[in-house]
Amino acid sequence: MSRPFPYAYISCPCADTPVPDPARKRRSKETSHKTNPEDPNVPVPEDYDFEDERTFDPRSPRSNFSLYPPEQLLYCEDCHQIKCPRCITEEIVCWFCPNCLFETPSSMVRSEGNRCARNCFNCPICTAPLAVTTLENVTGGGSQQGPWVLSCGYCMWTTLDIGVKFDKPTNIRTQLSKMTDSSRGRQMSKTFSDLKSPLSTYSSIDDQFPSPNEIRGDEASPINEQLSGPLNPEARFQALKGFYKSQIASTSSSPNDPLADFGAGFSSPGALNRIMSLYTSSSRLGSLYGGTSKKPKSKPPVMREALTASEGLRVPAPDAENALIRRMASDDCGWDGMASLEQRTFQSPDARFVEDLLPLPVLLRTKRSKRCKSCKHILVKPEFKPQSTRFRIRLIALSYIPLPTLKPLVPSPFAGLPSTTPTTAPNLDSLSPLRTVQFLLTLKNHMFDPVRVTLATPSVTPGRVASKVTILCPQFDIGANSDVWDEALQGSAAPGDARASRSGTLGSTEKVAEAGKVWDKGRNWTTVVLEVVPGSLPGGGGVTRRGRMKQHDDGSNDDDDNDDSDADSDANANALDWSGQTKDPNQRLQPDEDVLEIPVFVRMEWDSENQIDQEQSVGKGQNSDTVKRELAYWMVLGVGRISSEMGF
Amino acid sequence: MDPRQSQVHLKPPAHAPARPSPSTSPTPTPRAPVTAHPSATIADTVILHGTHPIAIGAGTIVHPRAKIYSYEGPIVIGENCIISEKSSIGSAGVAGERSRTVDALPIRILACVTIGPLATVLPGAHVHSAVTVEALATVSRRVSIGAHSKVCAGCEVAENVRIRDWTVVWGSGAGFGQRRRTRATEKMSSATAVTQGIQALEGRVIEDARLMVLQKEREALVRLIGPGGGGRRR
Repeated sequence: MSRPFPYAYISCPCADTPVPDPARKRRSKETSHKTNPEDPNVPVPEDYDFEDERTFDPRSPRSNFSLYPPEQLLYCEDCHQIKCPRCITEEIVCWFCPNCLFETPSSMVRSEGNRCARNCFNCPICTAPLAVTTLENVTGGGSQQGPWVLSCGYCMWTTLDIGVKFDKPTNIRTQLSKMTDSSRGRQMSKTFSDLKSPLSTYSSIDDQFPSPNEIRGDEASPINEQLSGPLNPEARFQALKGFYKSQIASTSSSPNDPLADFGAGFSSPGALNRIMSLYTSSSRLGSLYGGTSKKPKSKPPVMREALTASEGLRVPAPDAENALIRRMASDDCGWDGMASLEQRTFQSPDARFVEDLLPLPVLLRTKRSKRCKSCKHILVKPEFKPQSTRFRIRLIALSYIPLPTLKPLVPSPFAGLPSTTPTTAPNLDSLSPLRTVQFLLTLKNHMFDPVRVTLATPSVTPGRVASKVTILCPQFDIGANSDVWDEALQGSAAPGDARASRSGTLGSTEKVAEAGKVWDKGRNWTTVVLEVVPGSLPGGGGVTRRGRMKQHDDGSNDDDDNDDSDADSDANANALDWSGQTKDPNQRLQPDEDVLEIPVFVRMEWDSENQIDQEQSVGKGQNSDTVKRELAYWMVLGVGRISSEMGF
Repeated sequence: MDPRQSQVHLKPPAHAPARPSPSTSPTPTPRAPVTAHPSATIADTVILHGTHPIAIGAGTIVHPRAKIYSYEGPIVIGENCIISEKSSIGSAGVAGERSRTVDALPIRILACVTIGPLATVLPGAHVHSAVTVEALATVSRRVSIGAHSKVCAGCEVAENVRIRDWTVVWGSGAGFGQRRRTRATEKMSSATAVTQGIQALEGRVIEDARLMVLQKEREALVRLIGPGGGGRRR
């Protein structure tokens, strides 16, 4: 996984308890797929009826979709459930320009596109924001009247590079679109709003294939073309769209086809029928597909292509491509004069040289509120104003579930252990197999109620690399997240004690992990010890032998020295695992199979105030005031990577 | 490093060779013979080491903690330059290498050059006038950078490369991420401009404006780090 060791992920329960019923049906289908014999290595969870008893497998392909870092999760107070990005819906609260922080109404976004309509532009060369600068100092005029340009502070590009200057420093986008939209050159024409919407490629594709037969067709008259003149890309796109819409309407065989839009017309099964009928109606193929008995259908009407400029046709000049090539080859263009692919992505499809690039208005951003998918309760609601970074509602999961943190427990040299054990922290990127490592698992409570936590973990981790895991104290309490000063005020001895034990992880002299006892405890956190015996890797035997042979050849490494051989063995393991030298696929290590991940089932219980019935229960006793809550989820602790070299 | 403790005297005395010659100094880091114009502003904590002479032109400002090493050849810094903090010009030679003066690699920095903070200019570089070398950029050995060019932040100009006038080296680092761009100097025309019939200005006016701003920046800097500048602040 992408995070450095050790890490903790929390599994959102939504993966196990799908809300709608169809999903359940689909999943049962999945299991039947999984049980097919060609993939025997995939661990098949046999019985879905006993889901709760099933051990969460962090390595199963499905768990990829449910594991999240704790800070990315939300919590729904109505459902009392952890909510991951998959079990929420998002709504756009507002659109705003990240540059000028002006809000754009969504209706305007729909009509004008999602780019800033004011003065915010990005450099077409290097994408840095452009500044509106005056040239009055240089050109004379002293009273802020001077011509204005957009200039890039990074690559020193200015609009003078494309020969454009502005008369006033406001509404630059309208000024620029006026320049680009009105009377335009035939080949270099482009508009501002034609900033490569995904559909705009249609226009370029279509005018590459004007079928020559049809140009000679019916109503195409040169006079007509002369009158309408060349359209700009945006208008051409609109013309083509209208043209094809009318073509579909006129050629569709069934009048009740929902052909209001392009997409519906072509993605409908009717379109497929139409295409298939083209094949089957032809006599030869028809006999091939056994269609001789069928009545020959009437030939469906054929769609024609755009023929005139008013329909959106554009015929490039015959030598346009040659002129482009000549320009590319000329000395004053060169490699640096060509627009790169990244630069052309957001420009008009005709832009080939850096001179053709236009400044890009800044893309808008959104603020979104988030709702629970099942109960529609709002989980996150930001302030409406783009300037504000505050949230009105933000129910993040970490204020409801304890934050797990893991760190290795360094055994002290004085604690009665043999002196050969290294006193340094174990290298989590290469844990030696079959050697016990102890970890401190700290759970920090952020609720204002004390929590009782029960941890459960399989004694052997699932998967081929079976590591033994023991939680020395699986059941413990965590204090409430009370006032920070409470701890100091309650007793003078307690804080000092806690301080000493907290630092004790580095060099505690007397503390030894004991079964059934909490390692350490603070105001709102509790630490328990986790004992892990990393399993040996499947290809481990061979690797070890290889490593040994190499060591004998060198004659320099003694086997007792564990730390030194770690680096060698890592190299060996990599060479063996990834080169594909091992023929047996079972023997070969799968990617990341050597990562030691421990599934831990967390079940927490607490008494919370009954917020709904609070008014009624004022006069009642203590019991009705509180409600017993419980929450259970799986989490995965990423401990480290097991090295293939045996430790000694 | 505390400005209150540092001495107010920041400028070397007006008469040339300001520093003692390296042959007389027994210290392992020889002070370079510096020839600075009286109107140059050199901060107190500038490191000027080396065996070859260093010349600093009129109106040039050298920020505190800039490092100028003349072990591998003489260094000439022209007029009205700004050498920013912690930039290093020349390479800090190893002690044994100092005697190797056969093929001296001079560094020539012409007028109105800006060297950004933490930038590196290695021996043999020839930086023409009005060049900007931005923060953390590297100009390698025997590089010639043409006038009015710019090496953007973090970019590295490889050895023995000649960069033409009015070129911007930008992108990320060295190699493939790096791109170059030629700045507009005269009246540029594009399709948009042609159709509009805009009488565009020459691209050079942008550079003129930039140099004017640079002049103002230098005037302000003289007040800040020039003689008495530190004292006036406190």
